Amino acid sequence: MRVPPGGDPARSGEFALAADESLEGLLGQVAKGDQRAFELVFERVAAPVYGIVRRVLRDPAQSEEIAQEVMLEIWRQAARFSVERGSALSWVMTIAHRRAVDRVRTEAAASARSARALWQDNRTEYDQVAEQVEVRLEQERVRRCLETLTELQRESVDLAYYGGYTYREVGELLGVALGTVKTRLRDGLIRMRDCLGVAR
Amino acid sequence: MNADIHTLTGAYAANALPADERVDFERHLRMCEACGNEVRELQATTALLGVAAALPPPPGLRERVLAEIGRVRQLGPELRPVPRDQAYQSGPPSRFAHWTRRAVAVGIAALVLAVAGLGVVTYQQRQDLRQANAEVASAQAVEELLTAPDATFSRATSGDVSGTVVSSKQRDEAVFISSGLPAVPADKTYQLWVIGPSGPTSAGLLALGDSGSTTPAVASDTAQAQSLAVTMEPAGGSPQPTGDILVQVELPA
Repeated sequence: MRVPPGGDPARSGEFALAADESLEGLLGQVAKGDQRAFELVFERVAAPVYGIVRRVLRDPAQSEEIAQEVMLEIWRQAARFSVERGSALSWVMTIAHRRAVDRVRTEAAASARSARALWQDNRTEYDQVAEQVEVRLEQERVRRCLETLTELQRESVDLAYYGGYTYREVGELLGVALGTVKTRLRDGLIRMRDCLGVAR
Repeated sequence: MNADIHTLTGAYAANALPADERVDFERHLRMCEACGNEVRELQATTALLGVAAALPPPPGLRERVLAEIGRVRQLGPELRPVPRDQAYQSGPPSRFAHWTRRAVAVGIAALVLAVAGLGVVTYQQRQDLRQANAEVASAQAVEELLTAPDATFSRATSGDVSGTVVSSKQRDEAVFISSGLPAVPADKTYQLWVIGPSGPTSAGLLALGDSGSTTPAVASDTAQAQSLAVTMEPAGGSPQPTGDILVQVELPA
């Protein structure tokens, strides 16, 4: 997915064209300390990173803090990215989601999440996002694929991934055995994988 | 492949494992190729779930991040496991080295006893191992390997040269010691190879002690490997073996 550069077309002229404009290629440049390549990476992944962190944490202030940490982590660890272990987008999103989840699982944050979320204006910025056609299409695709799951699969995936709960917590919330949650999560994600046409 | 732990691929890809189980699963992942492939696919899937949640980042985030990267040092690339003994050779013993001297003494003693227990160790080898004891190379790794619950001993000889390996599938590591290798010319070196499903991978250079034994060398990624082998290579080592195999120790299947 490619999010268009952040609303300042004049700016893009400043960037020398990277030899390889794929996210993987850009990360290779970032690994060598190329700050302009990092700006391009930021423009492509900042919205998904902030989005998933916010989805898990809810609290905008905490989400911004974590999103900033994630982006710095990408800068710091770019040399550790390896295509053998998956795509650059996978790598970035795994870092982002894991950071958010780790924050949730520290107790202090957990109480902040429940208490503050109630006070937060629940208005989302979906209208702005709607302008980004690619994101819209991706959302639609994911929504349709989620509908192909059984209810238990969908609930498990939703609570675990978007909710940031451990599979044990998911089991507790859904009142099902741990073994069942494990298999539902796996089966659900496998069905999503096939529906979304993720490269095998 | 353990069927039960395999079902955790989904929970892992969704980051839904508690910290302790995540660590266990990642250990398993290093040994289970099928799990690795599935995890990659499922992580690509959850990545799309994440992308679908995209929101415009708050104004100012970009500027703050870009200002901050000037103050954050980047990590270097992950290197293939290189000989820990080389690292030690290049400088004076570190404080860590002093610290672990005792640990390696215990470890080598255990290795001597265990090998002796198998009835395959000679007096000379015991001397060699004592010699090796003076070296602090890979002290901690050796110690950990020797105490691994599934540590297994393997040995092979080729003429005067013998190689002994203690390997652990759980730890995905093996420690290699040899004796009987002749001194090498200054422009040559001995190099250890892990012979795995996709061919030989360097496990680093071997340092030769006075008595013809090599200091213990720790090799990684050995769980799937068939054997460890030693060749003579130009000083500094080769990316792929160019010399004849001088001794080769089969690893347990």
